Amino acid sequence: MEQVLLNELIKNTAEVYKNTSELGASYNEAMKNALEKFKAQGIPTKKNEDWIYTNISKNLAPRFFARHSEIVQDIPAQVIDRRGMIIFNNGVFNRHQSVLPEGIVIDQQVASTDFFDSFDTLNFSVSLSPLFIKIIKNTILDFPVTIVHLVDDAGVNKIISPRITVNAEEFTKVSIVEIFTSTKNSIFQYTTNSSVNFNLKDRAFVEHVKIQIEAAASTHIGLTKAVVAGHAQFKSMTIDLGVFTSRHNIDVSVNGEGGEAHVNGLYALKKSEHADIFSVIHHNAAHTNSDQLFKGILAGESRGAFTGKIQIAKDAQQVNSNQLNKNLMLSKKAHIDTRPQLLVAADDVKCAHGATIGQLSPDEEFYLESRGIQKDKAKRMLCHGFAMDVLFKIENPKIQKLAIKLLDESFEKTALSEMTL
Amino acid sequence: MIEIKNLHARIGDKEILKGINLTVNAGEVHAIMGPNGSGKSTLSKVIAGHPSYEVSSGSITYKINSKDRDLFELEADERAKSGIFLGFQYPVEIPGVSNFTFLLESFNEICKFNGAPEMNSEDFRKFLKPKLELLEMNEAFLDRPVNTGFSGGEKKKNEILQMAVLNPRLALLDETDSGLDIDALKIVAKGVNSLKSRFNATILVTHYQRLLDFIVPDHVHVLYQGQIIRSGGKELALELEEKGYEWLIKEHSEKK
Repeated sequence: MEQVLLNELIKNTAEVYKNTSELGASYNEAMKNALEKFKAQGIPTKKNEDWIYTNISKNLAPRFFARHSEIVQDIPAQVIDRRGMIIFNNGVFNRHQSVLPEGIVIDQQVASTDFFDSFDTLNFSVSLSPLFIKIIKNTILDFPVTIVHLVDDAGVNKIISPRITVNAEEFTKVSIVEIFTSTKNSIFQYTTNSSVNFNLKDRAFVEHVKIQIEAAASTHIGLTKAVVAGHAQFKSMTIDLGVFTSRHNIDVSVNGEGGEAHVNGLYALKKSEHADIFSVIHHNAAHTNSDQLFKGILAGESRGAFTGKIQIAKDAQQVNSNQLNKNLMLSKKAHIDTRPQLLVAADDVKCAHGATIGQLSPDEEFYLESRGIQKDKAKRMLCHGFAMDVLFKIENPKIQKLAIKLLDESFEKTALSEMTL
Repeated sequence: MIEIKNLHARIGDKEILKGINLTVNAGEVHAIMGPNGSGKSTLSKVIAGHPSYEVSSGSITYKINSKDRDLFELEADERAKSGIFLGFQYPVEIPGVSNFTFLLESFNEICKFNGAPEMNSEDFRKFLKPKLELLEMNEAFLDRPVNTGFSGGEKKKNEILQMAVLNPRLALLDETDSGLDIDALKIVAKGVNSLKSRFNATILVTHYQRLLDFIVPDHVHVLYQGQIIRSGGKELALELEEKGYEWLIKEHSEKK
């Protein structure tokens, strides 16, 4: 089945390549090479160890969104501050609507040759308007930059392929929130295959909060990749508020001494939604730190999967790495698979990992009830608290506020009626 | 105010309370003492409506607006709204919910139930101020998650703060003295004493007499194996302090 789909996808790339001339001959060449690579890699099946919990081809769209859309629409409601907004329509960078703040500029495009997986390869080979931006040395932004990926009618039944590369120079500090959504959340069906890449130079600080609220019937595949230099800090938060199927790949390499990665996330699932989080942290230098907290709330008949890999290279001594995955089950029919994986080649490191799967405790509920709060409300407050515990890790207060609001709208208002435990 | 008659309660197959009789009137302070495992905490949890305990027989009537109500007809939250407060021996940690939000929700639920106007956050902060001062608590407490990372003493103070906010008619304080040093104990006692009036009553559940130096009871009851085996005045507590529980237990088993 995957082979049939693969052949169809390859065939349908022809319509993409009619519109890529703007990118220049050598970039085009690299795209074609990547496509050959994708052909060889194929679409992963459940036989692949990294994909055993998710049948990704089940609902993939067969064609690509292959036009340059320049329709100027209203500014999406999720934009926090209009001084910094990057808008993508159906995976295509909207240069008319976007506003880059002072200190952030369009960077020279560089073709990729090294890919995380076949979806990253595919993304590169068909992404029509890859965005390269540079955060200029010493830039410190006191407001967040919003990236909105908006899918409209034209994107229905298509694969949407946004690609972003962010180069953060020395001594920069920026918070970015990236939202994946659509104009008609209830009826659209499409596939997003995104790739977002960060390069942090010495002492750069980048906070990246990704919020997935795509149309309910769509499939989301997204890569967040970061390379972190010495004393730089990458702070990542992945929030998945439920969709037909989602897969989040997070791949962070801490390559310089004193570098830090804080990789957190929340998935809040209901009905028959499916989310698969796959997080890999590479410690390639000594004296590097990382911590990960991923929390899941699962209602209805939803399914979640969490894989957390920590890889510590041979010479990366004195590394500190923590990982924790906590899951709150709200229904007997919900399901979670969780697996921590430690691959440690150095001999002087501190590593900890843990995973919990549990329900709301009667003692917690009773505590709230004994203060006059009704059982239903007590449960809602406890769930909310469970989620807040991780959302409080968002450093930028405006992004945090937006995340809390979206959690309420996309999950808490509806899902908490599905509690059966 | 509350009348407990021949109360039997169990958790799973294990009967813990085996016929409790106790009457508490407005304006009174009762102390319930007894060795570990005698059922002291169970009694307070049953009154407050903990779902893990099953009442197999007996009754509790509680006066609401001078009408006797069967307490078992009320859910735990309704009991709280009707003025019953349980100060927990082990207050529960709720990461992610701020103490302030928790207190405000709780306060407004109780206001709503009793037909009183609800309070907004700003006024509520002002309302809390003197209560925090009484308990010598820093205002920063309000913005921390409920009990999360609190020391033992801070947790107990937080219970009394909740009590001060909710102003209950019947306060059940379960081992409020455990985990407190003497200074914290004095502050907690000061808080409890300042809330006493002729309209409300307090039941102190305690293993040690120490707390009763600071909150003086009108009546002392000794609970043993799920029954009250002796009741007396405050001097009974001093006698227990001196002689321990053994003599009472011995007397009790001889009577049997």
